Amino acid sequence: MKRLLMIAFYAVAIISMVMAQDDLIMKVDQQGKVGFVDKKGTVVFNYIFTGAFPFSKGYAQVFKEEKTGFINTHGVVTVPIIYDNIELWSDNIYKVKIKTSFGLLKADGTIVLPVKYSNISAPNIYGKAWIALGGKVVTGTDKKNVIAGCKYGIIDNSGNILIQPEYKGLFEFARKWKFNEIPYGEALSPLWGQKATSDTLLSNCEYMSFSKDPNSCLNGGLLNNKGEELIKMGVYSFIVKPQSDMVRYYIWGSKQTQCGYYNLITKKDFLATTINQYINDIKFITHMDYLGNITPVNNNGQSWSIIDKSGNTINSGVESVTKGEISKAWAFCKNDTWKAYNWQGEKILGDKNYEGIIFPLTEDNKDVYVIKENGKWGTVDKEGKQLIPCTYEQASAPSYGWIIVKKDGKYGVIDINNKSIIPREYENIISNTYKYPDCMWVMKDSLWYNYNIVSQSISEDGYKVVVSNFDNGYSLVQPNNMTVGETVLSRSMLELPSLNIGKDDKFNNSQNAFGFVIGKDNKQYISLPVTMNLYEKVVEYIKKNNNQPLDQSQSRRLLLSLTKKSRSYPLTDKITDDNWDY
Amino acid sequence: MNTLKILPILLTTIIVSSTATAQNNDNTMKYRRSSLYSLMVNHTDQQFASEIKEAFIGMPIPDKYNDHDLSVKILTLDKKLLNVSSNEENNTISSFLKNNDIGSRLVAKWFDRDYISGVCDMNLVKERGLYNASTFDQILAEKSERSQALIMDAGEDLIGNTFVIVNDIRYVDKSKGSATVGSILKILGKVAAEYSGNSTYSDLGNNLGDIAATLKGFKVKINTFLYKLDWNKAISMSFYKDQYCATSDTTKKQTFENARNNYKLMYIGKQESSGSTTSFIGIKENEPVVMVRKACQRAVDENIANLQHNFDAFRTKSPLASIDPITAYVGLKEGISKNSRFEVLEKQEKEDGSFIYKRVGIIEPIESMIWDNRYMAAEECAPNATIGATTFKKISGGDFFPGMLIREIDNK
Repeated sequence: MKRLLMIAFYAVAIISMVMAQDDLIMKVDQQGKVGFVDKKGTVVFNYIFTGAFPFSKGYAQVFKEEKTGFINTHGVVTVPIIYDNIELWSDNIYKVKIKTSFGLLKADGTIVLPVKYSNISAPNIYGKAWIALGGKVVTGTDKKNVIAGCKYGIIDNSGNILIQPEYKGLFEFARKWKFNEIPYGEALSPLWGQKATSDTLLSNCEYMSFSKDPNSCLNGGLLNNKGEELIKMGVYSFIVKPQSDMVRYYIWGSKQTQCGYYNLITKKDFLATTINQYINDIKFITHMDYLGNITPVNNNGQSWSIIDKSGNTINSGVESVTKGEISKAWAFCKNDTWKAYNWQGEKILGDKNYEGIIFPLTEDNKDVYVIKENGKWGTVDKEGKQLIPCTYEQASAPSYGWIIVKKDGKYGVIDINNKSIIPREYENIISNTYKYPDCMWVMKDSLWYNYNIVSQSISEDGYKVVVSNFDNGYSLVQPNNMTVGETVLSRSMLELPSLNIGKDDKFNNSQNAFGFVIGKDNKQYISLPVTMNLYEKVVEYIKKNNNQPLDQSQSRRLLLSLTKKSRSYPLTDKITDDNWDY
Repeated sequence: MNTLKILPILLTTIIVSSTATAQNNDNTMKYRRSSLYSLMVNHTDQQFASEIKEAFIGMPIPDKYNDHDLSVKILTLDKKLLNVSSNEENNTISSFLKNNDIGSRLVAKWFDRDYISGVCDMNLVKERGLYNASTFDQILAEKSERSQALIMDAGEDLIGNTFVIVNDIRYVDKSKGSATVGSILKILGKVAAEYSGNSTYSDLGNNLGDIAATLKGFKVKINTFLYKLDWNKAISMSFYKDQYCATSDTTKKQTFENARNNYKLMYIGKQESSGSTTSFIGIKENEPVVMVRKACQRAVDENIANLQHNFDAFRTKSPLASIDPITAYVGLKEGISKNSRFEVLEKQEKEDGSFIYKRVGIIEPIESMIWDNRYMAAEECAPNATIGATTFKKISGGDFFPGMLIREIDNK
């Protein structure tokens, strides 16, 4: 019993202490000055402040005329009231300003960064921010506010300096190139250009490029996230973000481009290929990133070689290359024969030579590979063991465990165990984009029908065009021979001037832009045709309406409301009723 | 001491502590608002007409009002509006409202009247009136004096507080005969595309300078005309008796159509914006339509605030956000200054389900603690842009409680 009483006593005491931190109450006197009293009304701070925010976590921000600082609940000014501005920067850290300089501190007065920086950006979602030292704010030639003549650095969201502010040019690897984009292919290159003062970083700053020019990353070097110099400036013309400890580089002149790699572990580089063209004239992907131990390198646009991290050629004369993102594998075609390797360079799918390889699209069937043998398609596992015999004329990549297959000229859907989901009776099928859909679109007699997988039946109505596979529960469809009347409303859905009815051909040429919204139950959910650009908003409204179909009146009102901005009327006109929702 | 008795005290303590700093956002607080329909007159003879229209469409109905917009928002005029500077009722504007039966359409919206069948319902009245839905239906079904009182309450405090503002927006052209360079968006769209490459900026030449100079001094002059729906006892009785139908009724439907002209809008007054230049701070150069939106939004808000100062009927109520200190979600956007005064109102529900508001005190804002809640105040780093509410001091009255409302009264 005594022990329980002691526990209760200390618990109340702790809770009281916690409460005491927020116990000061802000009061205002007749002159409009602010002070603080405790719960008993005893003045803890006199009415000397011109403004204040309420206490939070034991501190309150206060103002004296134009200056601001912090006080605590014990009558102490913890942060002197000398700052021009204080704003919350990250968790318990505040960004403070005196004239044109910034710093970071905590409400208890702990200095995190002294007030000497010309800019401190807000932290990004990765908890990284950039800082600038020196220079001054100018409006650049592109009319942005930037810090001219400064040096950049990087901090984390606790205010720790990761990269000292010593670099005139400091760039993230945030410029994305797509898989087929020439000449770099899939890559992250430095994002050049000065940052506006309000910009935040875009990446986690795992690596940064640096140079002498704030507007150019050419001839830049490489830093890691501790600020250590990995590659000096001026060694390479251009680099992309390291992958698997390998840095892809370019050295270009007016008539030649050298393509190679720098190994961050061995600290050695090697030349992979030389192309007798200036970089901007190259019309193919030069060499790719290492995603493991191997990578493809292009031989002047003629063929590919596959090399390891020391630059040794493992395979040459490769005609085609595909990448499996989910399987973390490559597939190479040489002499019409396909082979697959994981990113470490180990052969997968057994020792066979295939006529085709298709990688899975989704994580849940990442070890199911669609392959072609003897002119037919089937599936194997990673070791090459047969899962589904090669009996199909065509097969799609596995998507959420389902594969679209063709046999005897007809399409159907099977699962990865070769069990029929949709019988092979159709001219075409649209692939599922989510797991276990209730229905999918199938084509019969050149029209699309909604196939209900549960009841194994298709809808009565077929459509000429369908958009979306009921991802959001609905689809936009176009019946065969659909004609949309030219009205104020239908014109405004196309953003055509409503007063030009019958005066131009623009409406008639846009009939294909319309469709009806139907649900999985094949019912029409809005009584009027809508255009693709309004489809999402209409679905959003239907869902807010408890997924009930809209009647004629509701449909008309909704569409009139959504097209308000497309319709304008002379002030002197009487506007006809078909323009009004009420 | 019995062990079990200790725990409730601790729990109570914890609960009190955890709710001490809870705050509500104005938008989630439920209180009766006036309803507003806002239109613009777009001057197609002017530069930036398209951008101004875009900006206006993007402006929501202010959160102190219920959105009572109809499906027509944009009116066009290819010359200056006749007599726009006069404070008298503008014939062109009033004729538009009359000829297009705006009054009847606002009433139809209140009752969600189906344009095909004429069927009406009271759902919007119940929702905006914050009535208990089932009690409301029950009292109405009685067809008693209580029912009448409820209808009168809904009429006076809700339907009768429906307003229309027509904003005549003109761009103040500061150019001195320089060549028209076309749509802002087209020019700067081209510039933005060039930014993404590695070209230098110096070859953009003078076009950007012209546009930027124009935008930097971007001004609009807005005349806002204010009208109020005339909803009196006679109109109300006629509507409920002969035109309101909960099920399809051809006769009642036709009666409403024939009576559209009877629903009128009363002219209240007009406000012209000060035409001050809006600063460019906080706006990126490749987002010019933001500049146009900022200028238009600030001017419309200024006009609405001034109309509220000048016309009692248009004044809005706002809830107290906290009572110690006294704060509310109003600020410079509502035209608050150190000279503003507000009455504190307590809502009281009568037996018949209707409401009255009783004054229980007067408060004034503290000059250094007026919230700058104007559009984009935070982006331009305006002082007090981030304080979130205005703090007041009590001038007179007793204790205030959460849920009380404030409404501006005439300055001291």
